[in-house]
Amino acid sequence: MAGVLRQYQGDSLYLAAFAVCLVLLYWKEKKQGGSTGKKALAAAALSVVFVFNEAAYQIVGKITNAATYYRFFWMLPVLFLIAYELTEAFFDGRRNRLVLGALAFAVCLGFGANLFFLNRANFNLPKNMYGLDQNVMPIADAMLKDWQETDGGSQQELPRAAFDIYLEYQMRTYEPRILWAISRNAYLYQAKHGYDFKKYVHQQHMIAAVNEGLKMNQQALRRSLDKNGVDYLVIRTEFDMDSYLSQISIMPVTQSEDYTLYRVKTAKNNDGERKDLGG
Amino acid sequence: MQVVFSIGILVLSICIYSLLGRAFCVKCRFCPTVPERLCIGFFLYFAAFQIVAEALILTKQKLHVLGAVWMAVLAAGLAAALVIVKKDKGQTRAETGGRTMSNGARLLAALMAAAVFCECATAVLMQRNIGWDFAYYIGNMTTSVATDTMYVYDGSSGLMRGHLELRYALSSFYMNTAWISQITGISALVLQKYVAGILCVLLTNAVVYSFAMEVFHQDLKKTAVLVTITIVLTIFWDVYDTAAQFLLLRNYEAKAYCANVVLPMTGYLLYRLWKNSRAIQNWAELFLVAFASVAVSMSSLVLVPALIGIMLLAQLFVERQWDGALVLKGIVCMMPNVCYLVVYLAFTRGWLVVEV
Repeated sequence: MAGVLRQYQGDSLYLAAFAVCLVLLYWKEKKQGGSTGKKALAAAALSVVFVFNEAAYQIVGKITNAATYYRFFWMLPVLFLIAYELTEAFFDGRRNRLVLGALAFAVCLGFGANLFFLNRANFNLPKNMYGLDQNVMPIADAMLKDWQETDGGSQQELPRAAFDIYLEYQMRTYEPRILWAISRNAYLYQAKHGYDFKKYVHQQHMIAAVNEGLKMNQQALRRSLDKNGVDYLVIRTEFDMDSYLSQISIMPVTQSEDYTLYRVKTAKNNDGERKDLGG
Repeated sequence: MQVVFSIGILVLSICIYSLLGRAFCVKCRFCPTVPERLCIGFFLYFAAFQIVAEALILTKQKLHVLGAVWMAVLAAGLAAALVIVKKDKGQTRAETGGRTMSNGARLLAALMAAAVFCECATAVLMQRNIGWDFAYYIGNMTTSVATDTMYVYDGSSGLMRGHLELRYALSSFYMNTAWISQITGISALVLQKYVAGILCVLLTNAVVYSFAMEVFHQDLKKTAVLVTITIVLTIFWDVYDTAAQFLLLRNYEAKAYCANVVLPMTGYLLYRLWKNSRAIQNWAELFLVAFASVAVSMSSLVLVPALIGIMLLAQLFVERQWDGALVLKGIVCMMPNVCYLVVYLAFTRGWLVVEV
């Protein structure tokens, strides 16, 4: 639980400021005879008793997924309460409160790495209306065109392709008729265990080729592609895989700015049942 | 052209939410601010959409069937809302007619509007295609449109599932974009990124505005300053997984709505119940939000009942008086999520499987 709190706090002062504002609210309301401050403080205490403690974290973690426990912090009105106290300070009419409020505001904003948005690299200016990488559209369009033009392009089956992780995220958001040859789990497993070839063996061969451009055992790669019914590979052109892949009859079809599209075969692979979009 | 049509759909959505919200308020006999009505309309829309969509998702109907049925239901609902609002028109005018705004208030309101506009622009500019979640959620919609199905195929890989993944299929949020995409021909990716993204920012600020108007007793100057400060704080909060980061970077996801619209709205309504737990309108609104919360995001499944439970317990604790009616109404408000939770747990334990 402490880890989740540290993660949510980051290097900002916001949670600390929220706690201070909560105490301020309680103190002011107490002076005025109101009960909202008391209720807010009681709610905070109850949330510690029921939610923000190690036992609750362990129990919820067993029932669902502890990795998403940070979402409970969304229940806290962090920004609203800080903004409320600052607004009250600004409208208080006393100069010292105004200066103190402005100072607290500036410290809150300036502490930590909060000026990230001033870095132009963090701006994701859309290069196309989809906001996707420039390589996604030409590769997807070329693949479907090639698929329809070759013998494999029947209406019943759809192309299955292996991409590097970056393109895989985006490809099906633009063209859902292209199927993944490498699963999310295979990528996650490989990232955690490296190329141990104990699990997702075939997909690990594909990851090595498409994600890192590793020129490992060609026959093993060919077997993996056949076994998984892979129709296309999309690999960064800079990896220079043409001659390596041509030895196992995988030929380039076209190139985009950074990637080369390879066709794995021209005849349909009928090994195993394909439950794809058209099937 | 798709972006232009998307802006049209955004405007149309706001008009629909506004009309539905207004009709709800007339029926419940209260007159909240315009932004609050918009929020109420949004929740009313998804509460009704969830009923229609879930019945069709769980019976594995086609997406176009959902589109057709929902358009008919929505048309009937809008017609009814129009009749309700027209009947009440005179009264609402009388209530709003007396208000005047000082120049200072106008200036601060303009500052607030500029800040909201900047936040919308920032949200579009800073949007990120965050890895596997992005691939899954957007992939689910594009796959649904391409296959004319709902949750039958895996959103990421495109492969057919063995059974419906109820972890996602219990919430109809993404299918709303999918049916609009199918009808209009606009890419679901474009719709979700721009329409849902900007709508999330607008609704977030609508909730903050409503909450501030309540806290400051309808003082527009203070409200405008509070909303502006909140926006500045949001833009300056660079910590991963916070509500602010979801609002700026992942506003196309249902989780962003949960963190920035559903939970703040629930908190605001519970604050009103702290002030007046006898007002039936407050309870009606809370029930509506709780009912629609899972439709908007599965993350609300536990978070909304937890928030309701904690804040009502705090009320009982401070008042030091047992209030059976309050407890009963609180339980009723939690019931929709409890029912979803039972179904969800039955699914995760393998007791409930909907085969494809």
